[in-house]
Amino acid sequence: MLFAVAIRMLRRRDQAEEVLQDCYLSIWNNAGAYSHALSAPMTWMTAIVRNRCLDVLRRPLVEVTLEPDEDGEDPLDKFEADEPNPLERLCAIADAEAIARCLARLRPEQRQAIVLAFYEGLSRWELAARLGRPVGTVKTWIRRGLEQLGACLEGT
Amino acid sequence: MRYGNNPELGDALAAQYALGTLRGRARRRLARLARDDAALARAIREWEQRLAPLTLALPEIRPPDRVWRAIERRVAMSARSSASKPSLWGSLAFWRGWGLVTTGLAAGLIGAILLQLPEPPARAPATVSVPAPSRWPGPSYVALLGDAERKIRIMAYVARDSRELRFRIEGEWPLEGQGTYVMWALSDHPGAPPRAIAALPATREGTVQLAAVADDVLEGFPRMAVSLEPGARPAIQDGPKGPVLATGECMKTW
Repeated sequence: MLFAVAIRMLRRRDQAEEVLQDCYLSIWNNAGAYSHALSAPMTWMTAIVRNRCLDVLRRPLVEVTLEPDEDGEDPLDKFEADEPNPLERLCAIADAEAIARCLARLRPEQRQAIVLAFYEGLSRWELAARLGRPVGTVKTWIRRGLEQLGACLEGT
Repeated sequence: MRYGNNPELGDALAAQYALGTLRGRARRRLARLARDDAALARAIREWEQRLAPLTLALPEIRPPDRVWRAIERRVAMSARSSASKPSLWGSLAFWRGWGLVTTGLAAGLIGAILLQLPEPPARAPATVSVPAPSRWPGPSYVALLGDAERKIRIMAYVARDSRELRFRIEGEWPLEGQGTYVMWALSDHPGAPPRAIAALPATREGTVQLAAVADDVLEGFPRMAVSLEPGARPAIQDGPKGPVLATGECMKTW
């Protein structure tokens, strides 16, 4: 699952592998800072992977050709097949029922901005470019969308 | 600047931090502030927790074996370099015996938590041999159980398709000789009774057999507990009757 998170955000298998390695080491060295009271282990580890991916995404983009996996499969193929929207899968997962329902209540543009930011690690500027709207507009979508999402999740 | 007097702003920033849209200097600044601002740190954790279920929609992708091998090498190196004062947990034999610890992410985390415990027990570890896994055991269930007073930590893991559950404890078995240590799987269905899955010997580490392969025994049971049940052959049909010694999550590493 963590590998899938990294691949989805980075879209580069070599970088995703590197991030996974770095995160293991980071988790290894920082486990003393982990507290059961604050979050579930998987959430904690997911946050470490996502933070690391965001760091990597800040670097200038260098295009390289992806090599096939050891078993001859390119993991990115799974995502291409998975396009366009992992949200459809969410509805079928019991543990994600609340967030799927609360996302469904948002306005479509708010939902799209939040989902793209989460899965692909896009910044507000990148979102603005992708969605063809001014950055200020995208900022407002995200801020209001998150507010409503939080209120909805707290209410459940 | 603190956000204690402006919780709405703190919460909004925490949400954008967790989502990932807070970037660059602003992101680093908030992370720094959260170190001294417990409320802000909690808000970030809460938002990470709220958004985490989104990852469940991603397809499962198993990292190639070379990733595990590389991690194993790097962890072994870091264990060696930090082993200035030798301890059970830093010894190479320990890592060799617990190959999984150096290869599994969840298990790595758990090994590291054990590593942080103040002092290894003074008495020598019992000579219960745990056969070293010769390879990454693949997708596994991994549980870390503990008690509030941190007197005992129990780590257990079992590959999905295996019946052999390995465990290791840090700390001391409480009330030794006064009954049988029973490991329970706790269902995620409210009202469903705990399922007794194994009796653990009062050793520091060991292997016990489950009644069926782990997928059949543990699927749908996200938490585990260990209790002390009266007698050598306790009645386990109706759930734990003795004191619960440790509880914790049972995670899947796939």
